[in-house]
Amino acid sequence: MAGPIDESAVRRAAKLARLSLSNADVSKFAQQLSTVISYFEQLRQVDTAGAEPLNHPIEIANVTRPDEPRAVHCDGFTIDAALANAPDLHGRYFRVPGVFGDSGS
Amino acid sequence: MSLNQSATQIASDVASRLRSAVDVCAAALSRAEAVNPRLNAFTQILRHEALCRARQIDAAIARGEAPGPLAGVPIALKDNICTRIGHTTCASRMLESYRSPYDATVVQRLERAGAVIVAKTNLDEFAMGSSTENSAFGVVRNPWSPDRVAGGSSGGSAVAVATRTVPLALGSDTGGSIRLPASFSGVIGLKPTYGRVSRYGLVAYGSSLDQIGPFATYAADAALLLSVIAGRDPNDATSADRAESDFSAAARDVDPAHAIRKLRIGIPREFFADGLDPVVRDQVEKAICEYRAAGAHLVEIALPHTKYCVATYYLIATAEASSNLARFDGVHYGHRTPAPRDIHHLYSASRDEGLGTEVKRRIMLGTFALSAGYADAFYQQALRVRRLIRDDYSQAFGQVDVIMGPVAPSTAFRIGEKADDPLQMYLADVYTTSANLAGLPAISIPCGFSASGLPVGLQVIAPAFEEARLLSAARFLEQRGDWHSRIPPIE
Repeated sequence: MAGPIDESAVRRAAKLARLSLSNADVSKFAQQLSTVISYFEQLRQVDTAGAEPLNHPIEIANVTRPDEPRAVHCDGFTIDAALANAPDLHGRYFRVPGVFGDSGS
Repeated sequence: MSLNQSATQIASDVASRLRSAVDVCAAALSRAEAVNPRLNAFTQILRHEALCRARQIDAAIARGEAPGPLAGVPIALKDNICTRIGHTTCASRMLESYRSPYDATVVQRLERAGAVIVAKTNLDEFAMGSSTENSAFGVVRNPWSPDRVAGGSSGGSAVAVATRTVPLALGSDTGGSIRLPASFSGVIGLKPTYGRVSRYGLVAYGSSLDQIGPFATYAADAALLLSVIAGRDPNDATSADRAESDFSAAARDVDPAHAIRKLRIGIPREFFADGLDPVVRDQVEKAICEYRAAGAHLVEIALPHTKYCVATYYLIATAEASSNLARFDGVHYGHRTPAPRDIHHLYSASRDEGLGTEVKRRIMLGTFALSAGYADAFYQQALRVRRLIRDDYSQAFGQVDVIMGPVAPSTAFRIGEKADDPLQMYLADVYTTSANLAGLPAISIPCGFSASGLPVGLQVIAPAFEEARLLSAARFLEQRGDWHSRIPPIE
């Protein structure tokens, strides 16, 4: 069983979720998430012996198609359309700061 | 034009050239522009795009082409449904200037049916909320009492129909987000069976729970819209492979009392326990008595895991959300922090700046639910309880045809009342989340008003793929009262 939701637990989860929370948010969330998680605790009272986890409300089967090249979308979903919302481009590439070390952008 | 004109009537008038699609569209746009400063129901009013589309429809009809079952009918779409026209914002700073490169499947179907999209509606950011207070574009106000919430997360779509700006709107329902605002605003809101309507182009929140569905004034209109949007879609692997149904017959039934006679209605005692506002209880019980008076049989049933639904829902929905919202990273589209120091700062600062407080709270909850030490105790346990909740319903539907109860424990609450208490806000979903967890269709039907004039909704839940039962129940009740046809005063 994990420990209580204190500020360091909030900071750890925020790092996993890639959120840079303000100090004010960290302390507010520590209190609010503790309240909600203690409410969740009631689920531990339920006898679930023999109950398989239900991930999905309906039976789903994988959908496949012949492995043949085709247009991504029949009505004009072009490369240009896919790039149109990009915050920063270099030609037809998405540009981001250096991923390895501190090599900059 | 009468504000209470149905979509069915508008489509018939436009198809037979009694009225032009352009006139109908212009009236809806004026109404939207009049309503919005006061109630904030729309993120965008698409005047230019809508009039262009209406002119095309008029021209096609003049050429003798078949115009489709929604010819010239103005419709508003929740702004988490992707449209190539306008923006698709999800009421988030993250997507404030996002333009979808494709149309959702429901949008393609609406276009083929001749509908005219006049506006995108305001919502809780990424559909996360029960009050439409969590929008980056401000709170949606209740048309019956503007100091109160309209319900959420599809608050704007409910208000668009309640104010008679449009006869039809689409919302999405993950844990009650269609039914709750329908109940608070006094209109019909239908969450279809999971898989009935394609989710392709619906921005994902909780993928095993999300479903698009109609808002309408009239049962027949809700049926018409559901018939247009339902059906298998190769772009959504979870869309069900069922014979397409024409739902209109259920709501157009000449004698709905015929469908009500001998109907077995399950009344879950857990839906009428402590915590239910007596005002809501009175109106819901009166409505249920109307069905009994028409020959329905009331059967007391048990849904013993009801008290665990909110906890189960918020664990599963936030777990799915924390995964689904990982895509908003400032790289491919959406907000990017102006001066990223490195790649990690780009991700975390873009997300911190672009996402609102409730969205972050749910991402954090979901991250906890899935993290080592919590996953077995909470997430896996929630999935097991989910099965027990579904089993409760399977057992109940062995005895009854539909289940009836309240949509929400109260009428619309005051703006700000629950804003700083997330758990109290989550408990507004106490009667709605189980239908999503079990994948069942459910509807909110206007069934009365409180003494202070706030609407109350009756919830009806049916077995999977039995939406027709919900629509005939709605049609029956609209013949027994005028709750559905009252219009809130708009100055």
